[in-house]
Amino acid sequence: MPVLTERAAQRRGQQLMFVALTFAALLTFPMLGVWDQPARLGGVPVLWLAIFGSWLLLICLTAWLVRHPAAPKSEAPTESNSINPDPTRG
Amino acid sequence: MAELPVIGVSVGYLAALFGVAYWAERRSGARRSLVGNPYIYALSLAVYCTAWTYYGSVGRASQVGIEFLAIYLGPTLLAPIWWLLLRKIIRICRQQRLTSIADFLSARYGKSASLGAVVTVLCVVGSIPYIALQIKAIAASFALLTQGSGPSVLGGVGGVALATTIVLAFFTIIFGVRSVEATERHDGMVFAVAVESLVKLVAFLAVGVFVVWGLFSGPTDIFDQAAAVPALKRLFTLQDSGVTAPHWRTLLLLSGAAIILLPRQFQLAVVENTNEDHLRKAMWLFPLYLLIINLFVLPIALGGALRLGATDADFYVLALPLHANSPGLALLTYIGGLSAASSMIIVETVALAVMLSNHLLMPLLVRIPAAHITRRPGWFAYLSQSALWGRRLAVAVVLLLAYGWYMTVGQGLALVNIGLVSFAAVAQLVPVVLGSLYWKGGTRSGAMAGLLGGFLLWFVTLVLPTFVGPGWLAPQVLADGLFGLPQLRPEALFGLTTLDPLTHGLFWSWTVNILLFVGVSLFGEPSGDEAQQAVAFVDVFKGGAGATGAAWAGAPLPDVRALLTGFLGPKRTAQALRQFSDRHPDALTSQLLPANATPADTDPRLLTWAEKLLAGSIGPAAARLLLASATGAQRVTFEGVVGALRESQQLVEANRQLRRQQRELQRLTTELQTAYHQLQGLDQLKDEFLSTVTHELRTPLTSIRALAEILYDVPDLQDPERSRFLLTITRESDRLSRLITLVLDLEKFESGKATLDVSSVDMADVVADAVAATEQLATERQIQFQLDTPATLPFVPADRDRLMQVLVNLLSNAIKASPTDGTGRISVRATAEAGQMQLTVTDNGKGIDPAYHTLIFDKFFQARNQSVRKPEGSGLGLAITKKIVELHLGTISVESAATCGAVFRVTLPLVSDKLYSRP
Amino acid sequence: MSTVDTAAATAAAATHTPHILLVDDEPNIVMSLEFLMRKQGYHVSIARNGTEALAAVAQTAFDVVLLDIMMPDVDGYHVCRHIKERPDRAATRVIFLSAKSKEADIRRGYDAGADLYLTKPFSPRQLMEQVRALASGPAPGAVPGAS
Repeated sequence: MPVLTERAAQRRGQQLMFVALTFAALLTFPMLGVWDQPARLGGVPVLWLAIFGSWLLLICLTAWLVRHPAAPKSEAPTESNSINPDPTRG
Repeated sequence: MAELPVIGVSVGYLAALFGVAYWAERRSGARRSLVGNPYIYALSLAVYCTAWTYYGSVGRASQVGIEFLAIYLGPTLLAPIWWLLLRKIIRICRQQRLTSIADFLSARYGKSASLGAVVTVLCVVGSIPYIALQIKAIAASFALLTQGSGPSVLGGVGGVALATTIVLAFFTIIFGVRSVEATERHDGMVFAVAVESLVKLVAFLAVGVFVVWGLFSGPTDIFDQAAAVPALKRLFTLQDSGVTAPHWRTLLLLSGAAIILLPRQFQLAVVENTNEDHLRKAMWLFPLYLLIINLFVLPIALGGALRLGATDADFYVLALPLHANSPGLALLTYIGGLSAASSMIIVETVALAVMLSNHLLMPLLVRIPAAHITRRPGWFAYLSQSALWGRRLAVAVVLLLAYGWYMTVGQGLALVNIGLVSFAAVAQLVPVVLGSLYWKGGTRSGAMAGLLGGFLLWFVTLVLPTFVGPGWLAPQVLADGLFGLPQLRPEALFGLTTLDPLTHGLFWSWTVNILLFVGVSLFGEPSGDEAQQAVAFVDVFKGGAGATGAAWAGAPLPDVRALLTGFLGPKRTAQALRQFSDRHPDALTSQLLPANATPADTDPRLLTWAEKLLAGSIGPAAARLLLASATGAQRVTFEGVVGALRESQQLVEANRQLRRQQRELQRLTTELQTAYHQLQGLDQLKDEFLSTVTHELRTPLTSIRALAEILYDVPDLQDPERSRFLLTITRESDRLSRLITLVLDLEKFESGKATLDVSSVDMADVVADAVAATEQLATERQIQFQLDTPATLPFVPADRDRLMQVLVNLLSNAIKASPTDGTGRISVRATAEAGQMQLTVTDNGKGIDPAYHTLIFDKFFQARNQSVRKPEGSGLGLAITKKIVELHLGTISVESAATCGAVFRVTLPLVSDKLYSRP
Repeated sequence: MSTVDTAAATAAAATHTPHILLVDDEPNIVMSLEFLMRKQGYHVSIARNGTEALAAVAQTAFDVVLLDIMMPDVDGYHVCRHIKERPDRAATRVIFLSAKSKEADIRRGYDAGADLYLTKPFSPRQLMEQVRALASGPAPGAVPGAS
């Protein structure tokens, strides 16, 4: 699996931040007011569709941006399991 | 539906979950963990969707429409930056073995016990209504499900709530509080929560599908029917539902904060995280879960309103299947709700219990003087047991408080309203947490002031109004203000009436919180510990891993060992120490392993390690206190370290100077020794030189004196005899004066005082003169000269007289060595090539042993080595010759076999600027 | 050594001309010494170096040997020891004439068996007196004044 370089990882952080801010703008007023109308599409209120649509798009974008693991350097040290597991506990 | 079967199903379901958890724990014990994957991680995060989501969202949607979605959009909008934010928190907590949000903040601000306590209280107070909400949901759904089945065994809703509380307390304890070490992951609990997340999703979707396609003929149908009802049609838009932009934003902010900072979310997202990389999938899987579980909320709300009218909308989810006579679906729905509520209660209570024990109980216990007086393992074991029982007690206390709150305040409130108050409480942590992650300037005092200020405002603006319901607060306080001051109306502080109560509360609490935090921090100074932790937190990704360094000192080894053994047991202690020594092979842990080791100070890194280990059990602040009080270890403050460093730096500097001086001394001694040896050698040489000179002087002197005395004593000496004696006397006198000149010359050359009077010299000319000077001697000995000095020879830069001296010396030397029987031949040859003039004097005399080829140029060599070429002269000739040649930047050497003559070769540079520039 | 021998030696000295060997590599010194010895009426032989000296000693039992120390081939010490080691040369007296004037050199000379050590430059008069004394004096090893 391809692994991100340090530089690319930093770039990805900024892309994720950008996505978060963009959708924060899309899903708050005044932008949200665009869809905040009684109109319906196939019976479903457009606001409902807009919110769920943006939501899904956000999920897809995030999933796409984080498809590669980070560079090993910024990966967690393996300290986590160093002391904890005691198979006989309990 | 009858009560007993429902009770049976409920308890059976919980027991089954426990079985699943137990199984999962066994699996992870056998290193085949079910929990170590991103899907379980993401599902466990869905503990966020509690009964509030399961039941409350529908109720909320039936009142204010799409507004309920904000609670899920907040976490969704934050999810992309989990990679930056949550990962940083996870990394910090892992490095410092932090197990709760209280640990986190306490550790960040200098491991402050008081800050940990404040955060704990804030979280407990904020969470109790939220837990109460779950109890209420279970009780109400149980009541709804068993409605009309005769007299209640449990004594109505209150009884159900109490029973629920007790049963859940039991399950919480066996799920989450069986071991004292909180850093231990609760694999079983996490797995059970993930399963519950799946169950509640499936159940909710089942209800949704049932409502949309069972009770109605698809979404279009529901929306069409709802659109026909004005009260429902308004729910299609936010503005018609009465949702303002600030309120919407407030909900996004609150839920965004809650998804990380709620004690249970922190527990599952941070503490139970097994791998940072799991975040990558959770970042989109979790929002996807939220999206799916919310798909049918609005349709169910609309369906409920259409079918059931304005009964308790919070329970449309359960009421609709019941109404449609689908007891199976109703039971499934109930189980889904039970899953949502119980998972929240278990995780939240475990998290709170750990916080309570680590930040309220343990800091008190470890301060008990007994810890100082009797440092015995029994006390530590007792402390360890206390921590465990303290946690269990805390579980019971939290649940009982929640039950009490539900019975007194909560019964009359909607689920969502209760939850939002909790969210706002936890939101008070946001400024301090963000500050701890990205701002090194924050101080303990600032954090404390901000939290207390925000907490106070939260209580006044959001909690006080809820007290009106149970009659704890007179309704006019809301209208007239606290203490009758109109400025202090809880929902309109200082006359701020344009905001909805939630936004109003968040605005004031955050404003005060942030201003106090930043202000107090800026007007104070972080302590050494705080500054150190600030770097460890803010720069956690910059490799500031073990940034804690050596901060402990002066604890005897056996005490530390006893302390660890008391808390972790001998087996875990040995294991932990082994791990420590694996990591730090240079540290002296081996002394720790024998029980009766000699007391010696523990490696500071081991103390830090021990502190971390203990922090996992009793929290960072208590761990620090315990380590200090139980082992006598002393915190080395930043200032202390700087002072010690400065001192040691001076010491090091002094040492270095000492070493340098020592080296200098050694060097001088060596030089002196060498000089002494040289002097000794010189002295010996001088001695030899002197005795040789004396000898050489005395020899002619002897002749002169003897002959002079004879001349005096023998007056009747015949004339030829007399003149022969007189001539000899004259010759010997000449020899004597020559010798003196030579000695003086040599002294001049040796001391470097000799100078050259350099001019262009015709070599052939000099050779001719030198031959003329020695011709008489050669003729006496019947020696013939052969000259080969072409007229085309270039001129040589040289001192003519000195060069003459060289030639005469070499010629005399050759003459003396040559046979006197008429076969003696001496050839002088001069050639010029490659910028050099080469002059060779060849004789066919005795020759020189190759062993002496360099020695012969030593002064008085001949005097010391009588067996070689007995000098007719002084023995100084060759030494002086060599000096002169070297002064001309030339070289002199000899080639000879022992019996067939010698070739002396002099090489002089033809061009030499240096030579002219010499003084 | 018996008094009879001593008496014989004295008698011999009285009856025959003393034979002197001059050993030195400095011709001028040899020249002056030869002149002095002949003038005294002694029989004189000359050796120019150590090797010649050893050969001369092997042939003739000299009465007195005037011996230089620093010579190119065999040094004076060696020649002196050689003479003293030969029983048939027991009557030969050895006088070192050397420019080596240090205490250590002189002691070494006597250690080698010399009867006298004179440093150069010496007084010919003095030397002649000593040679005369030795040439007609008691045998080596005898108590001075026994005669």
